[in-house]
Amino acid sequence: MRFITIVIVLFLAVEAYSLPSQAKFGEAMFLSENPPAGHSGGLKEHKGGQRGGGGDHSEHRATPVKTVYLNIHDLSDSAKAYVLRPDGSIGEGRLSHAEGAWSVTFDTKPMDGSMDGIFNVYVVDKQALDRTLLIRVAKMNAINHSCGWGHKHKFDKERQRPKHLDAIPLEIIGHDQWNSYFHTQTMSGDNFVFSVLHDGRPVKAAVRVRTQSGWMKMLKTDDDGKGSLQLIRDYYPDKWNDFTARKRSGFVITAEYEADEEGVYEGKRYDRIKLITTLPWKYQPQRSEYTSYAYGLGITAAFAIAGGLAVYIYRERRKRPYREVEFNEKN
Amino acid sequence: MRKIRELVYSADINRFRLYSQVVAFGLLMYGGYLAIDLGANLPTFACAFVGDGRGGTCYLYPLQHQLNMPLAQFIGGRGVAFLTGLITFVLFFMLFNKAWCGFACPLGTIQDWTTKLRSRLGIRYSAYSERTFHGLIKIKYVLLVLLILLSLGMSNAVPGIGKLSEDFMTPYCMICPGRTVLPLFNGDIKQLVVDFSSKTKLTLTALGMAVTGTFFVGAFAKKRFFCLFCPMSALQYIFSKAGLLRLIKDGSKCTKCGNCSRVCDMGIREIADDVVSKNILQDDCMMCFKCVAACPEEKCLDVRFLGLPVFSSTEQGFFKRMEGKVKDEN
Amino acid sequence: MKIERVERIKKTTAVHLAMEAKEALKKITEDFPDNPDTMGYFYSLLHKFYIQGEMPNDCSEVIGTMCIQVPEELIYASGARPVRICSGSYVYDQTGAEFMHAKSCSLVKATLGMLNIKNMPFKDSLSAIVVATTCDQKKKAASMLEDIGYKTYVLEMPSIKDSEEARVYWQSSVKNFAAALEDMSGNRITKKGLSEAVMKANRARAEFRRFNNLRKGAHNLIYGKDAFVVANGYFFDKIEHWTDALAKLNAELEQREAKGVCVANKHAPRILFTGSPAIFPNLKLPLLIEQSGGVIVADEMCSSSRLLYDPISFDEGNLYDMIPAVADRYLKPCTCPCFVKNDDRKRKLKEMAKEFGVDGVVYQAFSGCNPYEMEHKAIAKMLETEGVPMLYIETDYSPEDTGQLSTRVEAFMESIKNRKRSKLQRGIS
Repeated sequence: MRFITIVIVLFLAVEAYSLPSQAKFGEAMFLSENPPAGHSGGLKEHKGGQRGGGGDHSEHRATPVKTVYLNIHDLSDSAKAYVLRPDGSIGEGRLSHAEGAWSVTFDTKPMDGSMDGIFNVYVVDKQALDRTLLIRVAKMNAINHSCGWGHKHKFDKERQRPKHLDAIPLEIIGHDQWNSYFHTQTMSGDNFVFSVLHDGRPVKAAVRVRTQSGWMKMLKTDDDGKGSLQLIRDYYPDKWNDFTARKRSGFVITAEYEADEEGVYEGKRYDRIKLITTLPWKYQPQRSEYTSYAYGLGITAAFAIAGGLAVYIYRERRKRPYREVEFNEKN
Repeated sequence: MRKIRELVYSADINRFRLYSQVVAFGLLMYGGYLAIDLGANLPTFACAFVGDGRGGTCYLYPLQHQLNMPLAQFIGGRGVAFLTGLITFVLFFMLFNKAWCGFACPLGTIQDWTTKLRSRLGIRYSAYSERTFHGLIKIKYVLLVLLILLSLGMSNAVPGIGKLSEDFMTPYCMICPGRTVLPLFNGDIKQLVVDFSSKTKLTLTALGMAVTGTFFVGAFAKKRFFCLFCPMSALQYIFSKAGLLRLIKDGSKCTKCGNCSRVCDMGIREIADDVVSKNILQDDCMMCFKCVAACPEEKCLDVRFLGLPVFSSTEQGFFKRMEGKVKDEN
Repeated sequence: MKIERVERIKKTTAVHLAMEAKEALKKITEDFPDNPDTMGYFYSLLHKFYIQGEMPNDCSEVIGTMCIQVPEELIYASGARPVRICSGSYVYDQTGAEFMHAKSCSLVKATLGMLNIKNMPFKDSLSAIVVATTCDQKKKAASMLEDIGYKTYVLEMPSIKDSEEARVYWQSSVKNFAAALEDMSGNRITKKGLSEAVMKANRARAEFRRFNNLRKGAHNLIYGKDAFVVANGYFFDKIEHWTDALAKLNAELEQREAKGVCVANKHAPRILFTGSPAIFPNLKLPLLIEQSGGVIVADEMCSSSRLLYDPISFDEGNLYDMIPAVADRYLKPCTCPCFVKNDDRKRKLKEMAKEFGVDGVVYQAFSGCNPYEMEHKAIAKMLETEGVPMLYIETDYSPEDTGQLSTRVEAFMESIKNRKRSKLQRGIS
């Protein structure tokens, strides 16, 4: 009998970077758009960063080459990067170690909109230690989109569908992370639905959730490997003036899987395998937190009524025959 | 050939326009569901805030996005993208000139429907005095300039002020009634809000909702109320001399009877009073050609596409249309 | 004693008018060959109105109008028939002499004379007279009519037509007039009534335009005197009957055109007649022109083409739009010289001269008709630059100057013929 345990942990990605890297055996490995703290290898243009928005337009502005970064240093030599392109073809990911950080670089060319969509980027790392085969998978959905391409795929269901790669031993798929324009649309309060696949097949699982403030939650995926959690609000600026609607909170979903399995890897025998997979994502404050229909419709109604009255009164006044001519009394 | 021409010139252009507007409305608001996409550089209010359903996008939306970049980058690839967008816009525009407003604009169509409703109710319309009119028509140019400057200001620091907040994103869209009204036709009420997330957003969205309220009253009281302030109309007019579709007037045949100006939804007086200009297209004209239909003088007002006659005022056409109109009214 | 005298004058003027009218009608019908058969309706209209003293095509209520600025659509919509009361009779001109000095306009004097004697065919059904404030003499006539005892409505008109203020003023003036008409007639002006009235009038104008278009051809299908008779019939006839009759005439003219029948040869001078209105029976000058071999192919006069040219268009079939639309039609395109600035008349004449292939213009000004007298220089100058010869004639309703006029007209016709001939020869060589 197989015994499967899957643990999903939510990390706040941005917060994680600020901690000194303590990568060690068993720690989840995940990908991020930004290099880990302390590394200046970032090539990304940061627009309006000082106001805390933080590169939220980068997803609308495509670059021919993208680089994503790993949070750990102890990658084995046999680690491999995989890239699944938006059109379903396999791309090439170049794994490199520079300035103390591991990164994957991949081409998003051509820049004509044919590669408009989501790139799945994976790093798979295998190590045999203490008779256990440890397989670590870091996955990332990298958006390659420019509004200038004209949203040609807005009715292309196949293009929009979140994809997976059978070659990846353990993989999390997030559903409804983006809309038909490949703009992210996840907000706090949303029900975030995901699936977990083992070798391409859904697996039953338990889920744990943690927010920025350290809040955690466990939940279970069903027989179809599906699970869902409501993303709670975790952004509480002290003053309303500090509030920014474009504030992006990142999180990482980690799934762990262990099973008794015998084999040899790189000459080392193991009788147990352990798989860890991650998927980072971002979400924004809920619209209803900072918008008001009541005020909106109130202002509209006020102006409509005032305007209507003004027209009415003007017309009534016009019914009087005489119109005063006024002169400037100043000399 | 002459027979066909006679038939066209006697046609009820208003009915044709109504059909065209309905088709355009369907296309621009729901065409997306049939996977129709005319691109993001349309010279008409195919509002970007209408979701998947829209069949194209108003050029003002990408224009404001594209202008939000450092001046230095206009020389690079993004500058090329900006130019490509502008050229596409101009090409689209040249094809039908301002007829985009009269025959396609969904916001214009809504205003025309409001006008129909008012007329049915027997409530009279308002009109501006000549002086007020000439004052008001400048507003659209002010809006156009603001739209450009605010967009540029987000990426380029102004001495003493610095860069503008990103909350100024698509500043004109935020106050455009197209954003609030048009998505309603796709069942989307998300835009009917005031956004309290920042002072800028608060101001812009509150202004937007105020404009929306005014839009409804205005469009009810005054024919094509909003068009007088439309920055798209201002942007179009810059290129209208290059339009392939033209409205030509032969002033020597004009009796200044004023029929054209009387039926003009925009209240343009020059169409009747100017007997000198050949290219009579005014900046507020929406090329609905109601004036041509209301002109009883042979070939006094002439619509030409690439110099070829499309529609023209004729005695016969005038009287036929008036007969039909009176029959419809009674 | 006094009543007796008035009755006697009435009787004698009626006889004199009948004689004057008969003579004029005889000239019109018998001095010229090839009158179209369907002109018979219009000849009989004049016969009935001027000689028999009866209203054609019965009517119950008449509102008399002076000047073409009085919106007839509104009168129709109120249920009355507008009758243009401007008179062209020398007999009335003489009886009207007691109202104005001798050098004032014959037309105004004749109209006053007619209304003073009160034996016009519509005397019993006349409920009011509407006078637009056009020229000075008509303005003063309005108060005189009131003194005689007529219910007179003065339609205030601006003396400038291009300004926004004038337009607004005129529109409110016409709105007031519409309200007054409702009071006078006791009938409400309805949407339906007004739109039908607009249509009736537009149909008449459409038919008259068709008629004028037929006159544009080089064929000379009809004499100008007949055109004046047709337009004169419009003054008092029931509009639908008149339109039908004109449609028949147009059909006959179209047949003539197809058959190549014409009233005068191709080389006859084509004349554009403009100035003070030619109203039956005073068709003295037009008849002289056509007796001298010319053909009046077009006119720019308030008794004919100006009266029947511009049709109305409205946007919304509601009174708030139709009444201003009616108002606009009576002010904006009007080329009456009583306006301060009247470039439109110059443009109109220029365009007409071109469209109708005109060889010369005859400008009639009644002595005492200040606006036309004063505008003639400007028109003459404009026509000179256009290369169109113009004959300016100052006259009145009296037949005394006929001999002198005929000499001048004949000389003008000869000069045009010579011009045409030399042009033709130049063309050939």
